[in-house]
Amino acid sequence: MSGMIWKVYLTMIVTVSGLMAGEGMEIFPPGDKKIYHEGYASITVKLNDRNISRVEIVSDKNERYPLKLTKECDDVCSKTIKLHPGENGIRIWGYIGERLAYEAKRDFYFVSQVFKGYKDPPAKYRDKFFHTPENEKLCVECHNMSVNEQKGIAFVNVEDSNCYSCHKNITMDNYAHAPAVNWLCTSCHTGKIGEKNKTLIGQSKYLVPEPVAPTCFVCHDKNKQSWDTQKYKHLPVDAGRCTKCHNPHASQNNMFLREAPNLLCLECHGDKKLPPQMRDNSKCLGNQAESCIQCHNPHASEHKFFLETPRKHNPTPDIGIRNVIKKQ
Amino acid sequence: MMKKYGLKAIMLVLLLIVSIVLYQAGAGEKFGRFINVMKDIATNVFQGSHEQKASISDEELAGIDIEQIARDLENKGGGLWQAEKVPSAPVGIPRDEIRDEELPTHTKLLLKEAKRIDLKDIPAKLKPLKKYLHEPFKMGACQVCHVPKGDNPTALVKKNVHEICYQCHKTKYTKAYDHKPVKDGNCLACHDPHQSDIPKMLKEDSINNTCLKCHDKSNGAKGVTKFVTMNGKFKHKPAEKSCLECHDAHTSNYKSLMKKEVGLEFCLDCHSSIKDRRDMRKWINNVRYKHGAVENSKGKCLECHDPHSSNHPSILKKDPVQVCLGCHDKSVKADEDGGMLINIAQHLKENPNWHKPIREPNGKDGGCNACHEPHGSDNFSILKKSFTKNFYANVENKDFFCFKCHKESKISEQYTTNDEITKFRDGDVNLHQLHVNDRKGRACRACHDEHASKYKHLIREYTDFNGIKFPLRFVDAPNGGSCAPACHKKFDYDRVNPKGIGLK
Repeated sequence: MSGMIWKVYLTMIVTVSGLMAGEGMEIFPPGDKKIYHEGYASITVKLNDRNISRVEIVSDKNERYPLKLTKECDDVCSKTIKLHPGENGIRIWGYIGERLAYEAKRDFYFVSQVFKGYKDPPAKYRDKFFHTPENEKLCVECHNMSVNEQKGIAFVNVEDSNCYSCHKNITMDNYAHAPAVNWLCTSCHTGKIGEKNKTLIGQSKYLVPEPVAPTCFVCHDKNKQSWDTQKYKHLPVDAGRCTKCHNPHASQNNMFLREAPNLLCLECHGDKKLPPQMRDNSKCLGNQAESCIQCHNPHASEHKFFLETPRKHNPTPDIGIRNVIKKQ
Repeated sequence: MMKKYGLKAIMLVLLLIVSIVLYQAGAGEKFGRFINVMKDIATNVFQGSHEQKASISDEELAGIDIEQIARDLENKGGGLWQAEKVPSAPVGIPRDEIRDEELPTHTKLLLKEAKRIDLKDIPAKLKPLKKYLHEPFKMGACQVCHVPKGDNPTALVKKNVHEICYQCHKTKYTKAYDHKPVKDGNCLACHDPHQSDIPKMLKEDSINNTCLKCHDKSNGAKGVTKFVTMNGKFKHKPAEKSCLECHDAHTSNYKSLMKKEVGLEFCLDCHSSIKDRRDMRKWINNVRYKHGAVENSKGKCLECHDPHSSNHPSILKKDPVQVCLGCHDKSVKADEDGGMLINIAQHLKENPNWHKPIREPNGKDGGCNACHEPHGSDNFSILKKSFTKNFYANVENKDFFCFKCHKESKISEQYTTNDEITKFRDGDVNLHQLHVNDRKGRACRACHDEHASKYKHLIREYTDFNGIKFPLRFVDAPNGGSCAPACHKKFDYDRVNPKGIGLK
């Protein structure tokens, strides 16, 4: 009887240890407990055990993503998956035939710039950067890890960018910011730090200074000029935190907004959320997604409450968002 | 009464009959001849005219006090005569700078002792006589130059011809630059010592032909380094009139034997006051942006223009594109903002599709000057009319000079199916209008290269936006094409099967 128990126990140990990655399957850095600031994570797996026939990523919501062998290497497979705000528990399964042979676990944290609940990751998560000399050595066999961008001249064929093959997902959304989608990465990713990310000094050559506004104003200098002359400035604008609302790479929303306008506003200004019956009856708040910015300028204004014009109450949803946003 | 007048009338008739009889008898002939000779000497001696009408015999000369006649003439009509004597100044050159080369006035009395030959006895090869005769020749005073040696008087009294000339023509040429024949003492290169059909005793039938005999490009003489052509379609008027309008035939203190220092001012002296033409001095001094070719170049006007003649309008040295490429075949510094201008020659070489004025420089509105004002302008890039440097251009301000040639309907019609208006359409949606007709309307140059491009329709390879060059990624298709610039993702357009651009 006790022998049986031992047998079961031993089998369990063997099974569990067998499922551990390591010798058979190697997961590339940046690795566990990483904080992500963009909603994508790239998982790259090196297959040391050449018997592995199939690798699969399983998200904590049980979404399954099969990994494909990369074009460049025959023993490395890679997949970029979409993260949801907050903690993402990811399992990577390696199969030999139909048998689950190896398993690896990764916990990521996607920091949301918008949603309050996901702004502060638990202490175990850390900012980790892939582009260190040691890590780059792992890929250099198949990938050109250098920056091949010509200063001030965009790629005619964006696939020529050395950054493209690994990072392409961040520009695939409907509205893409020109420098990003043209792979002029180093125009913003200068490696410099700002007041708000001093602690990261030297950790990556592709850091962006935070507050980010000076970087943005290199091109958007006219916006700076017009806001500086206004009497009132919205706090995030004044603090230079453009990327709080805008995604500098790409977005499903116009003006590269991280979320639909109202959702963005109400995340901080939740007290302004109207009860449903008021929303429905109000002519002026007809278009819910854009109702706030019909009257308020999200950046700066001469008038209190960032009103476009003082006590403007002539709502015409037809000329809603475009007119307002155009005046930026 | 009747008696009184009748007597006078009879006296007059009698006098008339007596004169006729005397004339017939030979007495009047001598009288008329005397008057003729007097007149002739007077004109010859004082007006310097070499026109020959009569020969003078020894007897006649002996009886004439020429100095007295000269005094009389001077007292009588001296003022008028002197006014005629002052040489007419070529246009633009102050009178006092014209060197009045003194022609020797041969007082015929001094020649009395020389053995003279009657005109009828001169060698046959010098006949028939031409309109203008050299004075010693006219007087038959061959001995002034020739040694009488029996029947062959061709031997000269001095070995060097110029020494003989300088005996009478005492002007010495001592300025900085001498005409080569002058320096060589080769007076006879241009002048005929006996006679000529034109003033100044020139060998050819005109001043210009005398010069062109050596200096013409097509039949340039040996040893001549400076050539001009006067056969061009477009000729400089003063040059056509006479080379001596600007040049001195003998000597000058200025290069190229110019009468005045060549420079901007030399040309502007005329070109600021030509009727129905722009006042160039005013223009050049008043424009905001100056052209380096006018301002800082070595040759000034002559950098681009030929002062004589050429086959290109405005007497340009080359066609109105090539002449610009003479300097703009490298990156040159712009005078207006100190920035570097593109090497347009290289740009044209690398991009085979050229804007029409460049493609057809000799056509109507051809050449760089179709858009640029080579003498300077108030508009940047010395453009003829306002344009924008910006990517965006306000829709209200459509006064771009592109529309000097291109129709404005190209950007103003919202819907059209007319290929003449624009082919940049998706179905009937005018995509030009869509791009331009907005508060953030794009300027023409946002997408088009005004000079040359690798792509059709002069579509740029890169558009400059905030100092970054973004490719337009234009792809041509039979009924349309596609673009994937920085401004939007890849959009296809098709004139026949519309893709629905501009409809959302």
